[in-house]
Amino acid sequence: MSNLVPLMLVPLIVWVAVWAYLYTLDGKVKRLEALAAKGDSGTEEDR
Amino acid sequence: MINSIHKIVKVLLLPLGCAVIAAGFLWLLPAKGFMNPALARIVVFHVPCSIVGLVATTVATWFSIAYLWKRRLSDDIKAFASFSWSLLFWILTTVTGSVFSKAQWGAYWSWDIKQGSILLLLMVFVAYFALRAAISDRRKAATIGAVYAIFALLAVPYLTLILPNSTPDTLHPKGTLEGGLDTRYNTVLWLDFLTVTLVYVWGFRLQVAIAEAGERLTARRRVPGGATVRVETMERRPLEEGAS
Repeated sequence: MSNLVPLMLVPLIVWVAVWAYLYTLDGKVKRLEALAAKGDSGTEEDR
Repeated sequence: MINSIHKIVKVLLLPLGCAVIAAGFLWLLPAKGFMNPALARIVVFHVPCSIVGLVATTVATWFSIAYLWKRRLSDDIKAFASFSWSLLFWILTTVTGSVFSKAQWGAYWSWDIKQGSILLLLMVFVAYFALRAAISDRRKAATIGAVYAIFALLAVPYLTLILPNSTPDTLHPKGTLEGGLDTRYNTVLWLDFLTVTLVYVWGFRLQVAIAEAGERLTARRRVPGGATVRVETMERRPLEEGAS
């Protein structure tokens, strides 16, 4: 079983990296959506 | 309220994934009857990837049909996103299947009928992206991509279920989910299925949100003199709904 610990670290590190990427992207998407929504509301004001 | 639940689920996904990986490697007992019993545990990661790949393909085809029906670009964006994720899960299925193949048959690739059919399936999926990339017109690419996606869904059950089961001359084990695994294996397998499904849903929503916001911003840039146009068939979503 102890032989499997180093092997287990590979998917574990990959998983933490994937999760961190998705979590960071989540924040960026919120900002992008806010930017797009701001532009859309500008469209209505222009009218 | 819904945003808070989404946030809690996303945060809990990290320990859930870590627990599933740790359980898969340390809690499961080595599988008997394999050349490499320790490595055969990868079945608990292989099967969920293939199931979620099938689900993602079905979702992609659903949105493709919806696009052909209503011609909304938002449906095409969702179909493309789900197709991208299904390709990723089919690749993961192939890779984990190769490791399982090494554990059971001593070679990563044996040209078994199951391996040959998954290779064909990957080609069908890659062709979808090549086809779309070859068409510059946005609407045309969406329409042709949607028609192709429907044929791709028809290929999935044929290549993953009918063809490999048409002959007894296959190395791939059968009946894995019908009593072929013990309680520990079943527990880890279904927890992994939950994790992979949540990752798919999260990634799919993110990709759709990025593409939709990008479409809106690009459409505004196309008009000279300012931000005064809205994408023709894209319905506006409230910020609260999209920001979850």
